Amino acid sequence: MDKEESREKCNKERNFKAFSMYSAVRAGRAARRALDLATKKHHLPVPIRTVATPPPYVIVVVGPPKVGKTTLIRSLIKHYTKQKVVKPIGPITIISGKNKKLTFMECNNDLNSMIDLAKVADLVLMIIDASFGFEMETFEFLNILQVHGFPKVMGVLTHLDLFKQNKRLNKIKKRLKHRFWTEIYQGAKLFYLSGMIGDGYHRREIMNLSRFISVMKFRPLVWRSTHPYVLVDRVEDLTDPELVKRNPTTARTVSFYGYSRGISFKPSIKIHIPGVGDLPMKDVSFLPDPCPLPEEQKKRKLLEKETLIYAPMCDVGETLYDKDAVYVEMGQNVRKLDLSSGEKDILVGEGVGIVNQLVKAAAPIDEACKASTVKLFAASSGIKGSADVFEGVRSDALGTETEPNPRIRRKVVFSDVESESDSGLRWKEHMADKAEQAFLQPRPPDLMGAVYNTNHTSAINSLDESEPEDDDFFSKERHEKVGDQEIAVTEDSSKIRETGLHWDEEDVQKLLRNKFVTGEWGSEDAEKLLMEDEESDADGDFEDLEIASSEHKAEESPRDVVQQSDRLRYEEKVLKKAEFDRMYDNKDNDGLFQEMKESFAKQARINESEFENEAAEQRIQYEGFRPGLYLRIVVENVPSEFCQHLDPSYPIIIGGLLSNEENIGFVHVRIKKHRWFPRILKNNDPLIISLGWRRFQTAMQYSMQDHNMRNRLLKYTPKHMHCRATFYGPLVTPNTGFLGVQTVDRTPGFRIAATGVVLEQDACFKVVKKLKLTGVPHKVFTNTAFIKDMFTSDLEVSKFIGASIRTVSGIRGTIKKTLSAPLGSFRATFEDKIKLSDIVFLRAWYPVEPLRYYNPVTSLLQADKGSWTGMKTVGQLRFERNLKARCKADSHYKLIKREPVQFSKLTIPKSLQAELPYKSKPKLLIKKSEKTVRKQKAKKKIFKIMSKEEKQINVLLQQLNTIKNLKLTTKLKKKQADQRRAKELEKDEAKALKRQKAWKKQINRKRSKREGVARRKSASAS
Amino acid sequence: MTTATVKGNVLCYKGSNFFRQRLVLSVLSGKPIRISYIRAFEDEPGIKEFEVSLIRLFDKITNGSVIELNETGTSLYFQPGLLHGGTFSHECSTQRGVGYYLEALVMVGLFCKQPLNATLHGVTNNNIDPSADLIKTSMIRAVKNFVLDDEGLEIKVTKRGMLPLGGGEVIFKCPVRKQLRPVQLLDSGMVKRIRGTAFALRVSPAIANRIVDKAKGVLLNFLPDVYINTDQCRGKQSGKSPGFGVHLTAETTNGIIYSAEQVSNVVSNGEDPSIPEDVGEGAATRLLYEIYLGGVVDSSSQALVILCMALGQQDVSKFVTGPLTENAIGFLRHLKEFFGVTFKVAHESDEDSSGRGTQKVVLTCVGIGYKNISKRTI
Repeated sequence: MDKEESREKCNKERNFKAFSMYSAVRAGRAARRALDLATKKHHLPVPIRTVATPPPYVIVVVGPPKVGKTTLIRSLIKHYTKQKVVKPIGPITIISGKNKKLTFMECNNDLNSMIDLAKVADLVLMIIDASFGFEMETFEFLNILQVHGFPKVMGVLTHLDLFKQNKRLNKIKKRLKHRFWTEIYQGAKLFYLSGMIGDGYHRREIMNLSRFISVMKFRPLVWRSTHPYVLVDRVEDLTDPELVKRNPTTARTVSFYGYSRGISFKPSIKIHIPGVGDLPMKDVSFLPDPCPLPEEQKKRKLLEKETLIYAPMCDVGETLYDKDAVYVEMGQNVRKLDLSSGEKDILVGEGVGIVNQLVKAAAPIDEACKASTVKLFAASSGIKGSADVFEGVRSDALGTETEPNPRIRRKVVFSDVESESDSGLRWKEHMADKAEQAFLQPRPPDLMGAVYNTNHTSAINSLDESEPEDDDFFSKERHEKVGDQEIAVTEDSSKIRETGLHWDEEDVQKLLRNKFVTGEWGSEDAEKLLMEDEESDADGDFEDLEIASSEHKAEESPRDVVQQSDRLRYEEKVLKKAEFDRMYDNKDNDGLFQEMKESFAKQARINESEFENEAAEQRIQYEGFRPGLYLRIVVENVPSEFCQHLDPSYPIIIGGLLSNEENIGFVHVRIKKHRWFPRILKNNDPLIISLGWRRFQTAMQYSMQDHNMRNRLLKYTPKHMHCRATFYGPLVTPNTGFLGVQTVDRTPGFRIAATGVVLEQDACFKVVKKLKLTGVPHKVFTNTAFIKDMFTSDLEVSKFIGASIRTVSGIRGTIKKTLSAPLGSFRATFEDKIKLSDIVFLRAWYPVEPLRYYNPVTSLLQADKGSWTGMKTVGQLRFERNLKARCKADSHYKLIKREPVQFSKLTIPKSLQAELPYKSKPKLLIKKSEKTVRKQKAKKKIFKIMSKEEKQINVLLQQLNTIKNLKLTTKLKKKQADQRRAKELEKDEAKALKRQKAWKKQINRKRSKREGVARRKSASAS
Repeated sequence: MTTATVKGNVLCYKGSNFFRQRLVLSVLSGKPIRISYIRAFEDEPGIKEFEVSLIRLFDKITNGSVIELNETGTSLYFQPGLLHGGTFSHECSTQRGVGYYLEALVMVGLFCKQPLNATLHGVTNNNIDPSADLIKTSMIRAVKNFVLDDEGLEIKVTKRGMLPLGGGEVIFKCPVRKQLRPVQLLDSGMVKRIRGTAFALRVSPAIANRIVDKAKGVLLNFLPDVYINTDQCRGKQSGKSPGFGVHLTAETTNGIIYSAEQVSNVVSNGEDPSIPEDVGEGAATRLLYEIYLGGVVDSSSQALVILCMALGQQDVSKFVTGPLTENAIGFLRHLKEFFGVTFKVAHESDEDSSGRGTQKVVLTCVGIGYKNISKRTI
């Protein structure tokens, strides 16, 4: 047996393939596990909103001060464009590949810019000083990212050259890597930059980093795939300088420039600029891409001249092409032109070159225009140009444009004809033709204009214009005066008024014959198909194919197979083949998942292709500005501080708001105090919240939901638990994450106070706190009691009639009726008799209104950007003013004094004592009172040594006393005896009296009997 | 119609036109509106009873609305709150049918916080407004295209009520959805069957049969599959006033339903008494007219479909309709003012349209990505 087993084992090892299916159960388990793993890999498919030319990806470089952020950006830009940027400020857009653009932006350590940039970053390069380790900023930034949708993060370790020992370096690398992984995900990319060469990192390492960036894939984040936004890379103040000069604080008109990102930017939406506020948009337009991708895609690599850089906020490239102007940056010191030597122009850039040429030109351009001639024919003399020519052309163009569209009013009137003709039936002639004319032929070419151009008083293609005259009620067109104009009034009903055409006519019936299954089917008409089939059969040479012999033959010409059964078989085969392909060609053969993905892909194709052939302006009208377009957004009424304190190193974002998001209401959220934040958060303390695009300060009202869905107010957030909170702020879609900080200034320690998610929003929320009213009974009957001191007036009581109350001992009851006196007392019934010493209480819930406080953080309007302070917490104010918290005297805890309980003495009645068995009888002697004890002691202790006389006196006194006592006793005895005797006498007398009475009674009875007998006798005798 | 002037955040309109559309869009977009010159120069100035009832209805389904009406009722300021929904009943004005209110509820119902369960009392059938039956077969059907899960979306006519006293009752239930999906519906198919319901309230039940006979007579010229029920309403189910009518539907091979209806005239309003045969013929004619107009929805649901397309996700939606009604055109203009959505309106390129009714209109738009912000998450 043993041998056999070992042989089997040996076989198994030798030829394991033969034993692959060893256990059905195990195989089943393995299959299930494989499927589980496959399903785990699935992510919920999201709608595809990518466009053909996406905007440049935003790469944000983050890190604590002095870790090498600027150096990294400088090295990367050097790598991509071979240009040296000394001070990379603001967004820098470059072309990184044949069809890829990148925007680099450095993030400073202000919490405001960290929050803003986390909302727009596609990739975060997180720089960590390996010689120091992780710093607070890194963790803060990671937490901000987590809340606002997690974009891709790549860690970069710098300052590795500071480690002398290799072993220690490896150890540190490993430690940092694992910490980084726990924060992001296992296996997150961490890049090592070994050290500096000159003023940059190693070229080889930067190249590797750039390769990592280029292959990075970006998953769409929820907020950004539902909101349009722009990372502003250029700001221009359009306000009239004269106005600014007169009043420096006048509201400015500013144009912002940047790529449209997220989803299409519609001109009608409201915008929010974080750090400034909600602003009205005046105008949006798109400009040619300042950093266009190379057109030719033939070569493998980019040419050097195609590697463009666009960074208007730092000193790179001096020419700017705006909508209606070209700006040339001339540098700090205006150089004096040396007109004689042309060599200098070679050294300067393009823009300066243009300016130089302009300056060098002998005559101004308008004069040159006038002087120049255009030769139309070789023989003719040149035509002189003049400025007037342009004006003439322009006015002509305008003239043609303003010509109104001719519009023909149509009216279908059936009964008109009737009145003209003699015969009542003539109007029915050419019915169909007329109807066709009315409905089909004279169509306005421009439906869009008819709908959206409101100069048309009524809609052209509208049904309601053709009013039947037989219905008088509807044919009246009513008008309404509105101020100085008059407008037609409609019925405000979706039902149409027409009764239709005369369908009993043959001609009219033809109009919709084919709308019924009984009519013609068009291309899918069965009869037609059959005809076609027959025709093809007649033409084609018929072969009797053996279907089973080869599949490809059947595939060649299915029509040739005439026999119905063969055809069916063929179709079945095709279906089976398709099914087989579907099963084995697709790795994800998960039906639902695949279906969802396909439907999204299909929708994306439709989105892409639907407006492809429209003119650019039309397309923008329908779609808005697609992501990837370079936008110029003009905004009015920007606070002057924005322009005065503009600092390009702080990001400026224009976030688009959806409808309803500009409104303010109460937002109910689930919130958790961050575990690294040192304190718990107090109810109604202000908190700065980053939600959606906005940063604002608001007052939080914390609450906890009971099992019966009641929200109970909390004084403080729990330490390690989620709770609910309500605040007054802008509305956003539920499920949006947010984070809260107490201050945005540079306070030491971890600044993120809380994180959470929006649950719902409403115009009001009910958050309650417990209210306990106590009273005492002043009269108790069996189950009824009169209770006072709970309310102060009858009105209060009457509001609470029917409310349940309870005593401390747990007896429940209800309030029944008010009592006249004392004021505020009432009658209540209980389930049992309560005691007069009980306390009765009523448990009620009191709604607490949250504070209506909403204050946007206007950090970009500050001179010192990080110094924004809103409302301070009470704690902060107390700390600043060195105040103690106020506390009521009766809230203090005092030492509780308890009197020892005095139990009354246990006394067993003597009669009971007598009956008790010996062992239960109290055996201890009764303690004598102190007086007697003292007396006894005194008696015992006093020894008098008496003289003879004294003895004699004493004896005499004793004898006298004895006599006196004796007399008294005899007297007493006598008295007692007398009394006894008197009592006995009384008793005897009473006895005698009783006896006498009885005697008398007997005698009287006998006498009366006798008399009665005598009377009867006498009566009978008489 | 007048265009809106924007003052700050408020859209200002003039005149009584499209009162209901403006309120619906204001509630959905959250934008306050001010309507002035409401019948200002008429004998009975100001908003009418049925409009007051509509405002009351909006007050019931929203939370935090601010409504200011001047003394004469000629000027209204409406600042919408958040859509709340829930269970309630509403006494509709008899000046208009229940359909007037129901249509507004169908438009906003999906975006409430709590599922709607509304009981509307009033006139269920009249000649101005779509009846509850029509809304059920036409509009509810249209909305179902835009939601994946339409469980709980229903209309039930528990009592019918005619003019002048009404007494009808309609229960409308609507679930809550987060967003609408994009829809491309271009092919309407061919009509394969016609169904209908005729009813006679507080009059001889034979009248219903007379209506059926006549309507069938007209429709059988086109299709053999015509079947019209008679709805016998007894006692309280038949409302307070006498009357009769018929509601017809035509279903196509693609499952699209065209509906039409007609009810009797109201004698007490001074109209001529209707003959049942006329009502039957009128309804049949209207149904044929709807089929003639065609499209993927019938003419009364155009505005609703336009709304659902505009509120969908940021994807292209495409719909084919018959010629646009005045109501639909007004709605398109209002949508542009409230949501900034411009539709592409074009004629369908027709290859073979003979005998297929009017030339159709293709409506194309990109949704604004409207989300139900009232909805609660867990």
